[in-house]
Amino acid sequence: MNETVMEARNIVKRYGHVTAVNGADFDLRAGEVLAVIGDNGAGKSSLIKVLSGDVIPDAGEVLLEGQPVHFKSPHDAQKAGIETVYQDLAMAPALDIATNLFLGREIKRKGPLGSVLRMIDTKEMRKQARQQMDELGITTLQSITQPVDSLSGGQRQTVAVARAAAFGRKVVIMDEPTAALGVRESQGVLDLIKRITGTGIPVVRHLPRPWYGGSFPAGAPTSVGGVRT
Amino acid sequence: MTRSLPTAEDEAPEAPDTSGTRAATITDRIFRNPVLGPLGALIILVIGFSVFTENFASVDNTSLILQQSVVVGTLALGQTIIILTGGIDLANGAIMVLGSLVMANLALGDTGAAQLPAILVGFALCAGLGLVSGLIISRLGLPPFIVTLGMLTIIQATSRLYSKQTILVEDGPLTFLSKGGFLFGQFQITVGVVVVLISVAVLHFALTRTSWGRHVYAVGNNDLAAKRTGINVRRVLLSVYVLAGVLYGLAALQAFGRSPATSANAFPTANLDTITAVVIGGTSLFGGRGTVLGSYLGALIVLVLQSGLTQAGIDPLYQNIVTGVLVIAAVALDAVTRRKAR
Repeated sequence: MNETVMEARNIVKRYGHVTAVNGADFDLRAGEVLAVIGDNGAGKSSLIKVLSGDVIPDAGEVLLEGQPVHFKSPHDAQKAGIETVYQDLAMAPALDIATNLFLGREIKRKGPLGSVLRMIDTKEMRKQARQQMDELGITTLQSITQPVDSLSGGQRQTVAVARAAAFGRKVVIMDEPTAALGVRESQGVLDLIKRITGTGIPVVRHLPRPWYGGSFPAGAPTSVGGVRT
Repeated sequence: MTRSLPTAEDEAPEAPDTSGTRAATITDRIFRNPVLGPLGALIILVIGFSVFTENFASVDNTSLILQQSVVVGTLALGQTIIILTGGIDLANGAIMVLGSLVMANLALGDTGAAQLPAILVGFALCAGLGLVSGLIISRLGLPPFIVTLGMLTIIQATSRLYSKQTILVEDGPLTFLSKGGFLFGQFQITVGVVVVLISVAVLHFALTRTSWGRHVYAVGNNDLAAKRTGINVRRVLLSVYVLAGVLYGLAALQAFGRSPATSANAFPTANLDTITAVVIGGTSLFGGRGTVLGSYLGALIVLVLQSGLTQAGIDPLYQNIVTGVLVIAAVALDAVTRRKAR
């Protein structure tokens, strides 16, 4: 059995009188794809937001590698190695792929140029961005210096997933990663998920509908999150 | 990248950019070099006026246009970084004027180095007013248009209450930007022109080569995305308004360089003039796209048009019509680019 990376214990989230998540538990193991499935309003998004630090739970606990964590913002979760791919992708469209990949954590030049002037090392970022794309087997992007708004929806999704894969040291969370994509583009993203789990990083997916389960990446172990309404 | 990336020294071969058709790559280049548009327009105008009018290309006239560009040019730099974040500043001229009034009043009768404290206070005041706008906009999340409209009204009234007459300043650091200069043959470049060029270069560097610059663009592009990637959006906004305030202080000095007299009624349309320059310079009013170099070129384009049309003996009112057409054309171009990018 793979080791457990993340655990949720009795997560509760209420919005006023509405209880969105009522005592959710799950274990997430290395290399696993965990799909959160449920009807509209079942609390999938709320549970996922708790994991990504977007929402603070009213009760319960999230454990990362056995240690309890208390995220107050998505940034906290990122620092702990949890990356989230948002449905609306969180990218700056006018900036190029490499810049978007490193947005908010740019590689600085060495020495005072970087530490004092906060000068960025564009060359190094492009090099690493290219390596990352190669590693994930992404061939649909022509150039790392293309602005993101010149990309198709599927290509943008690819960049977002690549970013999450690059920085998600522990867990990658995806909020309906294929919702806006066509069949072929969806397949590309699902292949990416397979690559990520292949390196041992578990992926939490949010699925829009319970009957949409047919497209799980083959061979990846799948379990269903315990969301009760 | 933190995980699993080897430190291979071999540089990956540059992916060839021959993606689509030739036309696609050309538009792509223009898209990526937003300065090419305004630069091309400026060159065409300069060549046109040089050919069709007698005095436009003269040494004196060219030097004069450059000197005229320094005040609006410097203000436009502040306006640009604010517009890049998706904001706008209607109060920039008012802040500069109040700053210059304070500098002039505190330095009344002073010459030489005795003016320096007054200059520092003026700069601090301009930065402080930028800080006020920035705090209201970033903390309360109010629309920049309304906040700076309010600031404009308040600061203008304050200026008139503070100083009811025209003040003259003595020679010294206050007027330094016009006094010093370099002669290339007969072509005179004042220190003010050099300072505005250096300001453009420094800001251009900061916007394109530092993480702060990347964050300015990211905030203007998609502030939610910026926030999610861990960028401190509030701090970026605040820094931009304060830096703009400092640039307005510099613009006040540039104005003294142009004329030692200052009054509360000076530069009444500076805010609109800078927006004109920024827009003609190819910066998107929606934020996230544009360059400071373009804005300075935009300011030059307006001045070249005015000068050239005057040389050609055309009624000055036509200059305004042409400027207006240029503004709308520039915005239309931006709209088309954005639509294509969707």
